Amino acid sequence: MKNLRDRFPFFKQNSALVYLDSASTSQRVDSALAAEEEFYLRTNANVHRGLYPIAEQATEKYEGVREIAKRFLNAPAPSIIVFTRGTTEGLNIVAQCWGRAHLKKGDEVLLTLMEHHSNWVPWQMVAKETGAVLKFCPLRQSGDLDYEAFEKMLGPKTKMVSITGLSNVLGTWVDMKKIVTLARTVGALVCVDAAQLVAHEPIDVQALDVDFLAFSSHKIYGPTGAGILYGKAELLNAMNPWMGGGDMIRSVSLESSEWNEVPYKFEAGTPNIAGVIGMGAAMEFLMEQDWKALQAHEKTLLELLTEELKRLPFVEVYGVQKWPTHRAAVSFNVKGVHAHDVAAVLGERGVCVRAGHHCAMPLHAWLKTPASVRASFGVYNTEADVRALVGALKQVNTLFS
Amino acid sequence: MELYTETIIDLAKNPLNRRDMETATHTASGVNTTCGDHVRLYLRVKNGVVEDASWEGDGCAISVAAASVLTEELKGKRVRTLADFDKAALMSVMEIPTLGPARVKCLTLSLETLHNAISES
Repeated sequence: MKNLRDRFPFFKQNSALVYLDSASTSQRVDSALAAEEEFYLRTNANVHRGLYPIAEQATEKYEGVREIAKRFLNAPAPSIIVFTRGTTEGLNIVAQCWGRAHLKKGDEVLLTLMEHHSNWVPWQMVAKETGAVLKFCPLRQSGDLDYEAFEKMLGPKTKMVSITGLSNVLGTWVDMKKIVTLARTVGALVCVDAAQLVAHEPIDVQALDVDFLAFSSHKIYGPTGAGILYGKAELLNAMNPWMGGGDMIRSVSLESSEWNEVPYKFEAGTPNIAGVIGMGAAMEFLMEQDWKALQAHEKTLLELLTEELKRLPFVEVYGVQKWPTHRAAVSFNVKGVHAHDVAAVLGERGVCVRAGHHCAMPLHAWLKTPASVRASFGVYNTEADVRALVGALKQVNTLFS
Repeated sequence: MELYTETIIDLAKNPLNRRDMETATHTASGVNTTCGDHVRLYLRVKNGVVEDASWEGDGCAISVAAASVLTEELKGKRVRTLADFDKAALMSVMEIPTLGPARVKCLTLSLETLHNAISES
């Protein structure tokens, strides 16, 4: 994957840095940076408004990203690709715009114990307003989703299953085909938090038959502040917008307005034009890759890290890190040392990992630790990165013991 | 800049004044929910002077070292002067020149708890 690392200018500036925090945010691919810069330097103008050439070019570039996203997700049409600020906004649109309209007192929303707060708190907010009940599917000791429990928790009251495709803490991969099949037996919809999954597996929303799916540009080597919400046309069409303003209306009179069509009714205000254009380049970058090679490389890194950590008796790893049902991220603690100290000492040694609850406090309560250290992979990581992490962990242990 | 100096590491391994105090006249608790650090601070004040200070709790090296140094510093000080003992003073005693935004709360947890303890009295 050496040639891929060359596509990331960040590493030219930080050649010695070991970056193992791509589950938080990835580094940016050169083509995404170039696309953003080109927009600002050559065609910077607002979209959907100007009638002069650069404004039309800006609109074409921006709208063209829906076409890219359609291919990226194998969506049936570009018109059901909603641009957002990121996964969090996408999930909030589903919870607020679909949930408020359809959830009634006693209805159930099924989540899992490993959800990120962004797929947890929006549903809590809607549940409080509507009287709907949230249910949480447990995990097995291995960190896998307990599919048997999941099946039992589904019932006639289950209206929505909102679930991560890949845990940001344990790296647990979710069998989405199975989830959708099970959810359909009770007529529930399925919303996927694909924030992590999207960087590690090609997604086909039609083959999976999911109803909603949200992800962020910044986890797939694109800029921050841009993301996509995919939704089935009939669902998006029936939903009310959540934010009012320009672009989301067809007509405005003194007292009322008529909503614009999907996707624009969810995109009030001047969007992150450059970010969306950069995100388009990032999606194209991923589509150009040989996924088999990417995944084989990731498997090598995961297995190397798992094996090396097993040799460190002072490290406690959470979950069973077994490819392919676990990937992308490994969370652990150094016994007797606070996760923040571990990450800070690693940081002083040029190894970037995340420490904390990773926006998954309920999961950490289940793991019986307030915080953990997480190493996560991107396409640019190498075996040398893994070895550097392991070496630095030994230093942490020496320092604190 | 090396944050994990020998002093900090030593204090993390062998904290000072980490004990319960049945005779405390002032106590307060504090929690950093984001990292799970928690502290309960005890002061025994007589005639406006801190006779003894201790703490119980758990946290990262910075927060444990801070609670240790803080309680050590408090002993013998007049209570009315404690409000002036701030983050900068604590950092100076701990010989920490700078602290990033992510770690400031580790340092200030016991300090804020102290200010709660004396303001609630």
